[in-house]
Amino acid sequence: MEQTANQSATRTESAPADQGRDRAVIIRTLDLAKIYGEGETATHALQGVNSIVYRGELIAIMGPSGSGKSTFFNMVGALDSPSKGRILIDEVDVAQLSAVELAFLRCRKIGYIFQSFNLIRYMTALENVTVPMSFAGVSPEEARRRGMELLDLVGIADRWDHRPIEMSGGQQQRVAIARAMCNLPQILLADEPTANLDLATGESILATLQRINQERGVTVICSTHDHRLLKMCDRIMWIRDGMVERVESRENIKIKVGTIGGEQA
Amino acid sequence: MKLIEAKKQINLGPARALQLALSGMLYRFFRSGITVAILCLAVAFLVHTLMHGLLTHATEFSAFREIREQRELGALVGRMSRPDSPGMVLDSLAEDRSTRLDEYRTWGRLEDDELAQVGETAKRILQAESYLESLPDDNRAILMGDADILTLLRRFQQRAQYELYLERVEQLALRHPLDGEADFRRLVQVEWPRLSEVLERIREGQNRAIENIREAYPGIGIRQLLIEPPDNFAEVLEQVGFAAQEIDFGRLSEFAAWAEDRQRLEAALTERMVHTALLRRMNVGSEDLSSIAVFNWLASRRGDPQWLSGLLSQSGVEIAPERLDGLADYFIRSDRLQEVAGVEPPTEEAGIFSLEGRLRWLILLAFCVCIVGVANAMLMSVTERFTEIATMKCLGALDGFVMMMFVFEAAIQGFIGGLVGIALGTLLAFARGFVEYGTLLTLTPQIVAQIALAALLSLVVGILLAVLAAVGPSLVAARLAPMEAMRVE
Repeated sequence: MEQTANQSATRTESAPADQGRDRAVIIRTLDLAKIYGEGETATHALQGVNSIVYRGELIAIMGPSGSGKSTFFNMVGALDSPSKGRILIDEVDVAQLSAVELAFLRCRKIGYIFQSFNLIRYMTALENVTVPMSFAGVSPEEARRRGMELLDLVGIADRWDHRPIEMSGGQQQRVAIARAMCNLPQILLADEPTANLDLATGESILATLQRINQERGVTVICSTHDHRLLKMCDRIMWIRDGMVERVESRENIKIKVGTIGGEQA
Repeated sequence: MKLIEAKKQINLGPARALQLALSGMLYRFFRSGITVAILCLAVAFLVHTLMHGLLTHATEFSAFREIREQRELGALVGRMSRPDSPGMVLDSLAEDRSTRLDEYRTWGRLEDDELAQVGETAKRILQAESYLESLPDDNRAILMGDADILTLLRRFQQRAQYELYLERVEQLALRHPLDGEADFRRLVQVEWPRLSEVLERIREGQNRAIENIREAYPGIGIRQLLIEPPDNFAEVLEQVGFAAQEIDFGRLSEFAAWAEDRQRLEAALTERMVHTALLRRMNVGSEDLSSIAVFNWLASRRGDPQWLSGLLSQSGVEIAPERLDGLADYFIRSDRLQEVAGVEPPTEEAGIFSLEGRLRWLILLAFCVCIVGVANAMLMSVTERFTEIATMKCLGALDGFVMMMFVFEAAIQGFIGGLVGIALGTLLAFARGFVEYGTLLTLTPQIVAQIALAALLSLVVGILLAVLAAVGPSLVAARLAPMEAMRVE
């Protein structure tokens, strides 16, 4: 098991070498492990993940359900603490941060997009978008202005005063993207953003993410089952049984695309 | 450029927390409504229990006072017709009731030191009595039979009787009253004869005084004198030794008039003709006709004072129909007062902190119901929003801000629930008081102040309960890592 972990680590390190070593590392995980429960019933969700995310890339994380994908996500997003190992965001160990610093990190450096949208039910679209800005100390007028801009960016400016319950899933996810973007984060974490959406809507959401990545240079980490993401992303990381199975850049995938399609079908 | 700078996250002020709490509550209108309803019921229960206790106390107290006044007026009428009983004199002597003492001093021609001496003896007699009363029933029966302390003292003047008593005390292995046998013997053989002689002197003096009143107004009954007191009546009373400055002649004459009319009615009721006619009219069996039964009949819808007045005048008793209605109201009220007042005199002061033990238990119980109900409601309100809390934390909310939101929400709910609960509880308490006591329900300024205090206290308790119940679960929720909170569903 140790060896597998080391092997995958080696591959992770070697993969970017092909792409260009001038790119800065934004997230690095070292031997990351998470165990739920104790003793006999303990579940090893992650068992030593070593990975690297570069600034400005769009990385897809794939893997069957129960592979530890979401757990990896939550660790990287500083939403949960690891049982073992370290997460370095911009070379800072997340475990060293105080509660207040963590809140600062979550508020301004990372944007979160969830599978189930997690909008606040009693707020309108615009209010949902402005909440993180108020946590960041932006004045209400400024927050409203920026909120409308962002809603315009994701294409639902006309629904700004609707509550989540009055919107379709796609629209809710667009609000969630606008909310994630509102404090100009450097990292966008999207945990299966299209899982609860139909195909066409899912595709347009993915396109929006890609646009944000390309136009604004935001690092996007996106876990998905959706293979359409593969043609948009820079790199793909496969996770299985709590370990990194392999990491490939898109150019390499194109060659093997038939195989992958065959595997999944 | 470093990703994480030394900057700290801004903690948003209470205004924003209040705003979020309010908009959240409005959105979950139904849910928060239920929480408010539970709080409202809890506070209403508390308020109702407190207020009902206060109202009951106030009503009982005022009823007791009114009854006591009536009894005193009745006693006053009696005292002007025949001398006070020895027991009554003894009580007055022991209690140092100054106005009575003045009267007795005049009638018994007592010197100050003599008065002090017999007062001391009276106290000792009452002390001995209370000891004998405290004995187990069978022992007391052997020692005293059904005699009271004065009878016993008179009996002990015969040596043989006293010897018998000593023998029985020995057999039963009892303690003697006061400080042992010698002390009690002194009471029986020295102090009692002296007191007995004084009591006799007082009795004679009072008899003489009554005789003097009769002579001053020849041909007029004492009751008639009380109903329509002559101009110089107070002076005449003073002259013969009655403490007339204490007497409210207005109230006394009113009371005497009611009592007089009642007596005339009762006399008429014993006549066969009136008796049978009234029984038939009232449609009751051949029972004894008490005056209170007639009053109740008059106060009911079937009552016919016009007819009764006519019937009474046939047997020579003239009472106007309006007067009959008035009599019915007065004596029914006084009957209800007796019921309400009970036997034990209530204490003077009524306050929410001095309610009797049984009530305290009830209030404690109300508290427990409050705490359980509110804690449950708050726990539900917080747990069903773990996802929301987690989301808020993902967006950069600090633990303190999350806490503040919940505390505000709880406080608002506590406040609204408290206000409605106070209204509801007050309404219930007064409705119940009115059903129980009717027009006898008494409100004094002191009780109103206590009721206001009870309401205020309940409001504070309601808010505190809500906040305290919310702090626990929201503290847990706010401290969880965001993802752990999201997993708890």
